[in-house]
Amino acid sequence: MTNYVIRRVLLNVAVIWLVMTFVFVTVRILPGDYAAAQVSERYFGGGAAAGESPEEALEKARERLGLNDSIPVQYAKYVRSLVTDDLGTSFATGRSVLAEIRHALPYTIQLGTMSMIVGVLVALPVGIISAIRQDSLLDGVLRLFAIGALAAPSFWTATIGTLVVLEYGILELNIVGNPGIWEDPWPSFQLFIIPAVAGGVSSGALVMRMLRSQLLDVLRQDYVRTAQAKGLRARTVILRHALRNALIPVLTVLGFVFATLVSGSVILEAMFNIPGMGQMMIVSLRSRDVPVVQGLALVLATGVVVVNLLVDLVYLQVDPRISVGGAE
Amino acid sequence: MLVFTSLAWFARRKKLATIGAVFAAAVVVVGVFGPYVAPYGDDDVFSEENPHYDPDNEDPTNLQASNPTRLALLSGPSWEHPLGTDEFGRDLLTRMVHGARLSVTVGVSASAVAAMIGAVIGIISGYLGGTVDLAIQRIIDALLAIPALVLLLLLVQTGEPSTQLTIVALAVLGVGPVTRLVRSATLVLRAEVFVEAARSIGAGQGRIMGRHIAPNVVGPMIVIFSASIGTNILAEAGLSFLNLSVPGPSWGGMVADGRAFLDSKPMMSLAAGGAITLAVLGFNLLGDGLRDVLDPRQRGSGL
Repeated sequence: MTNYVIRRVLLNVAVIWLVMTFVFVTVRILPGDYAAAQVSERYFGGGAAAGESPEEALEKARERLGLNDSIPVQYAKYVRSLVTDDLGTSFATGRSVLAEIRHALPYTIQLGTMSMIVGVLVALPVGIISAIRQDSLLDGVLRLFAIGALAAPSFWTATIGTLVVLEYGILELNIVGNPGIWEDPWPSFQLFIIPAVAGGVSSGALVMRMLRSQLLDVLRQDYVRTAQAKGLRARTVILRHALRNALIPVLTVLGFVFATLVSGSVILEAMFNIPGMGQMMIVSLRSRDVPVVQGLALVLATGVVVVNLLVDLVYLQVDPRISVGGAE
Repeated sequence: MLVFTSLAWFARRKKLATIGAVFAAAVVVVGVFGPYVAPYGDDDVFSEENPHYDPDNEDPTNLQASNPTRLALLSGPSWEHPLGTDEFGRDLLTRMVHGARLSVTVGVSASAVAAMIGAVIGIISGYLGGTVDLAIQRIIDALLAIPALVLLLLLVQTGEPSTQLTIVALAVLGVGPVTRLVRSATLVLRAEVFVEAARSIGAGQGRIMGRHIAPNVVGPMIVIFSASIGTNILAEAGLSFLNLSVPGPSWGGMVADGRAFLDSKPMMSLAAGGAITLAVLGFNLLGDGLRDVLDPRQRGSGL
């Protein structure tokens, strides 16, 4: 078991190194750079230093940002910045990438958590009802809802949500500033609820489909019949006996759900002007703020890898039927 | 004859998948032929007095004189424009049809490219095993670890926005899952007697992989090809929504543009988003049905 864990962790370190290098290379291929964008903006938007030609300014800016170094030198500096320099320094703000991410993280976590809550609220009841009323009209309607929710893009469901809110005026849509959930709970909730529902419903539909098919399997098992034969109430049999076992395989899709939520947050944050990591990704990519792009991609990928590793390890613990490496 | 019999069998056994196939086929037909049939061009603008206004036949001096408020901006449904017009006075239905072309082209090509490249890598990884397998699988792990949209954003920025670039970027994303599936199928096939027989008469590794393994992974390839078209259409719509995909009419772009006019003309966002949903739904249902028929081991993992 210990050997297995060590092996998995080492393999994942290799994977993260690959991600790091891949992103580094891709970012170098991107046309244009931050210095060029800044200099052209300074010359076309006014504010250029007197007696300095655009070429000189460009050269100076490139030198200052380290864009003139050879690729291997840039790579070495990048790797060093991960260890010593809090993931490097943002070209745009001059602050460390880690500080930037720390600023954006709470918004993304709030959106992700609210989406997860919506997802669970959808998946659990709908999955259970759909399984125990298998092939009924209700089951048909709920399954149709699930495949529809998986096919609908989250930015469209969020648009419909906005439309409904416009129509009935339930919520305030013009939220000023970026209220945090702890400081201004109600405005913050109003800002996040539409994107959270839009993001949560589709991941909930995914979990619901999994849960339904697992429950259908489990409900045919002997121990469920035993529980029923003992005279236990249907609710006890389903919640205490069947659901517990049906949820174990559902665990395996959690890593995928996490990655989907992160992907979804990119669009939803841009759409609702939430200053989280997704919006940060788009902004920094557009302005070619290389250190931020690299740092963000690395942090997000590490998140996915860690969630997947945790899921696998928890899976080993909760399902004794699975063993690794034979002799244990 | 055989084709018709099997099609009839499929339609009888897999009702939901058949509905999906009909949707998918409708989107493909509209995407392929629609732009030729449509009476207007996607950039034609229309005025209120003359719904058939064509800027190409208009005298340019006359155009200068015409009052821009006379353009049919955000007009409601009419016989000439069944879905009305957008904020520049362009016909919405025509733009929807052109959007279908983009979605179908990108979705189908990206899935096809990913299926082929993924199959080659998957067979090599699964058949050769050892260090090659280990290395390939870690690279795939790395590709899959970066959240899909983040990787997609990175890749589509590497050049001028174009259909080809979007297809390549989506194909890179699709290679990972195909490789996984084909690799696991190859691991099973490698232990089969017919592979052992081929090896015992001295067939080389290339020949075994190409002539004996490859024909047997076509089933899983078709399954993942059809199942991934919907995912690709969704991803392309997301890119268009962020205005990072191909310039020109697209469903995602229309949802984004329509958001500014939600209170006056919600039809713009609603119709485009509805089209995305129905297209993805169609391809997903078809994919699920094909998986049940072609790959019985995975049956029941869906609906």
